[in-house]
Amino acid sequence: MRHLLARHAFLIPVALVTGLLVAWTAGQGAGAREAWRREVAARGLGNYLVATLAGERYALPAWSPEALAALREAPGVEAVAWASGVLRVVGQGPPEGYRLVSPAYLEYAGIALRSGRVEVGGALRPEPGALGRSPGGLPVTGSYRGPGPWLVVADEDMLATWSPPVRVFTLALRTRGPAGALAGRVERWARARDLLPEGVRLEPGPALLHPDRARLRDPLLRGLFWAGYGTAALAAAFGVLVAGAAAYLAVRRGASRRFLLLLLGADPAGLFARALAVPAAWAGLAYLIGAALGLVLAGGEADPLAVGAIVAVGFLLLASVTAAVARGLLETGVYHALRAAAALPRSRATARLAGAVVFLALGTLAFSLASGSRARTEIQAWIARAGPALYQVAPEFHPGDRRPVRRLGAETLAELVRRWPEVPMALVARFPSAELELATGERRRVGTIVSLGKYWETVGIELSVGDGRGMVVTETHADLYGKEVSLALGPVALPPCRVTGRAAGVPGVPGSPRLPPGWVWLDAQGACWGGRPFHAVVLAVLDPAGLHAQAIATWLSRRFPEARPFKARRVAQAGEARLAEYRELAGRMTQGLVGVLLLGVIALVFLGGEVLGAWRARLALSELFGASPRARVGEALRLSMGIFGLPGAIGALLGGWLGGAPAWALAGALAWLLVVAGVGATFLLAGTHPARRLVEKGPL
Amino acid sequence: MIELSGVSRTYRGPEGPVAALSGVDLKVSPGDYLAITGPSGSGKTTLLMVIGLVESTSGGMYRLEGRDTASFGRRERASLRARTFGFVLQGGYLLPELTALENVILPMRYGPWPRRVWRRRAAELLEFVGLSNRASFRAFRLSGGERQRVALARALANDPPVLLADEPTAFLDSGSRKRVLELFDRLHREGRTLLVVTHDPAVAERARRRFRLYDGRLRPA
Repeated sequence: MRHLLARHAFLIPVALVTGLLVAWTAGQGAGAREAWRREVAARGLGNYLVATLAGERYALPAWSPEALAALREAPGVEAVAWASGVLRVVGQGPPEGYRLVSPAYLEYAGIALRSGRVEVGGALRPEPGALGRSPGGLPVTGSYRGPGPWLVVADEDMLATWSPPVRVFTLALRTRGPAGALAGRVERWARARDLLPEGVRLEPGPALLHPDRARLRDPLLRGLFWAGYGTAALAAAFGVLVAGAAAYLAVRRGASRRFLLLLLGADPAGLFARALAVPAAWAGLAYLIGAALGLVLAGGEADPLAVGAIVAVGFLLLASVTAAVARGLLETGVYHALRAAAALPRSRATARLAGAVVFLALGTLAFSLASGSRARTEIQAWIARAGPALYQVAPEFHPGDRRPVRRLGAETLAELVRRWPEVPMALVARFPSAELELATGERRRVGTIVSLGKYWETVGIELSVGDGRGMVVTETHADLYGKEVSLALGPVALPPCRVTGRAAGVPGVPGSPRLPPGWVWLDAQGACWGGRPFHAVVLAVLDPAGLHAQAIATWLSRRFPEARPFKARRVAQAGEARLAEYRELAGRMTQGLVGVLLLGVIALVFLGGEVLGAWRARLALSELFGASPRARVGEALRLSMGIFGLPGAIGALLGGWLGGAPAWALAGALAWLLVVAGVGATFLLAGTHPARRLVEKGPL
Repeated sequence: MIELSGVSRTYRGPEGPVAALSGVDLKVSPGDYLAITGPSGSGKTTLLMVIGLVESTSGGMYRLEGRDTASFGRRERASLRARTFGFVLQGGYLLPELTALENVILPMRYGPWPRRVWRRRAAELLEFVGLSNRASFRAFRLSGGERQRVALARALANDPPVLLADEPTAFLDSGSRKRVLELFDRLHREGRTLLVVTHDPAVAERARRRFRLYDGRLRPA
């Protein structure tokens, strides 16, 4: 038993760490998926197919009443939930916005109408005048005043005859079974009848809530997300390969013993079968123990996908071990055993393997450090740009709170300016509305900031992204097309933007051109805003102490007691939330990284031992042949550079480059550290007079 | 000229100092052919290492070409080792991952030959030992006799005047042993100095002078 353990001392920890890493990562994924399933069930999205846009396209095309009626006949479809864009009706009071929706839309959106009362999220709440009255006194079957504009419930007939003409931008199909199983069939059916415009897909509702989907929306976090999974996958692949190498070395070491047993009369077939089975058994057992530990660390979650990943990597590991052992057995047959097989592992292949280990480990390390560092730097720069003085006064959001979000009208804004004349403020009017977010599954933060009071001469900028994307509205009517504009919100300098387009229509109105990502749109018709109130959700306040911001939030909450209360938050907090997200992703990446490094260290200890053994022989011969001490240091340096330094430096450079940050310093430092360690270890092992030891040790 | 007068070499052992060589006197003239025999642990290899300037003496005097080697620094000893001595070790001691040709080239890094002639010279030496057809073979694929002949070619790489051989025929079959010994004879005829440590009486018999080392003391056999 002891000699078996000793021979597989390399293989066992490698298999154990691989199992631990794979199960840990897979278990965490399973936990996230379980939370996602719970949310899908809670929101009842399991039976909905939602029309979404592929890629970076922005606005959904409109559906005609005929198309909506035809979609109801689609196989497996039970009902069609649709909603129009925001319509406006001008009556005696201020203009009001509303959306025409189908009865099924209320269910889809989680809204229920009951006689005289509106039930939202299970909580009965009186809504005076909601039923039987609608904007402008329109003849409808029901209406609801919820978050955002009014919802006016209608059927397709009304849709066709409505004036002004209605365009439907939101579409969800309620299916008779799980939407995922029907998606392909329904989409093919609809496409064959030309009911799905180009670029539109029907996606199962649950897919829109997938835990990783939100992360994929943020380009920076998207990179980290893939880096996290990539590192874990790399670590698993690394484990599989190193396990193979470990098994190979173990079987080579056993060659002399097998040869002796053959001479003593052992059955060759039994001997080779045992040599093949024992490493696989050890590897399998160690992998299972590691996987069990990994699942415990991940919180005990394991769905079929996680189990599948664990089993698949386990099989790959066993296949790698078996193949390597078979190769080793073939190479160390009787003939080679006679030819000093014990010396074989000290070959160039071992040195190359050690070099590959260094390359991969340092490459992964540099990649992780570089990408993590880049993301952190960018987020921190974003926080710094926002500045500690910038506060955001916005309605507080709690899941399940269906109280309306109160937008700020002109009267409120005027009152704000009157009450706090010295406080710089800006309104952030966002559009398009939640309609588009729901339809595309993506939260686009395209918006406008319109400054108030003495900041009216300064114009808007997108606040939430800070990369110059958004809309600029000018009061001066100056044509800034093609020019770079430097914007400031009080003392906070915002990134400069290049004006790359002009608005051809009225922003925010369905059918008007939407902003493609990365563009800054100049609305030369700044006056068009003058005729309408600024329906803003978010108020940006420059207030170093935050006291005015708190006071404004309290004042707004008292002014609109029926709406969601307002809360003042430092804008940098949003960045900090992003940092928290980053840290979570970085944690996943660190997990893979730790796995790679752990496997790398195990591999280097064993492979390094083999390589250093070969170096010792070489240095001893060099001494015999008359190499001076300096020449021997040079020789050790050359060998270290070849095996550790060069692959390490290339790996670190490549990883750093892929991670998006220059890694010259890192690569250099790591490579030289390895070279020095290699030279030091060589002399430590070889001693100052290796030749004497070589001669006493006898032949290789 | 190699001249040892009362040379001793002592090691620190777990139970106190161990004398590997005690008062060894020996003179080796150019072109000499010496065989040193003795039981295991008698100090044969130590004597070879002292003569080859791998080990230093603990006492007595070792003069090489009339100069006291005690005054040599490490660099000078290394330089003399490269120019003066060629080593043939027990079992050959080739680097298994290198080809026969590469093994022969190895000492040339420290010798007088310019790099451009290394391969040609190594090929000539392999031809000399009758192994030109094995030049591209990795060392671990060679038989024991072939390895020993490659080791002999390697020892000759820098054209040293003195060849030090430690059990050069151990583990060899009679055919291989005969070939190695014929090569030794040939080298001797060409004027090289040979100092062979061996257990094998047949090897010792071919030498011009024979010594026996026992408990660190050298006596004519």
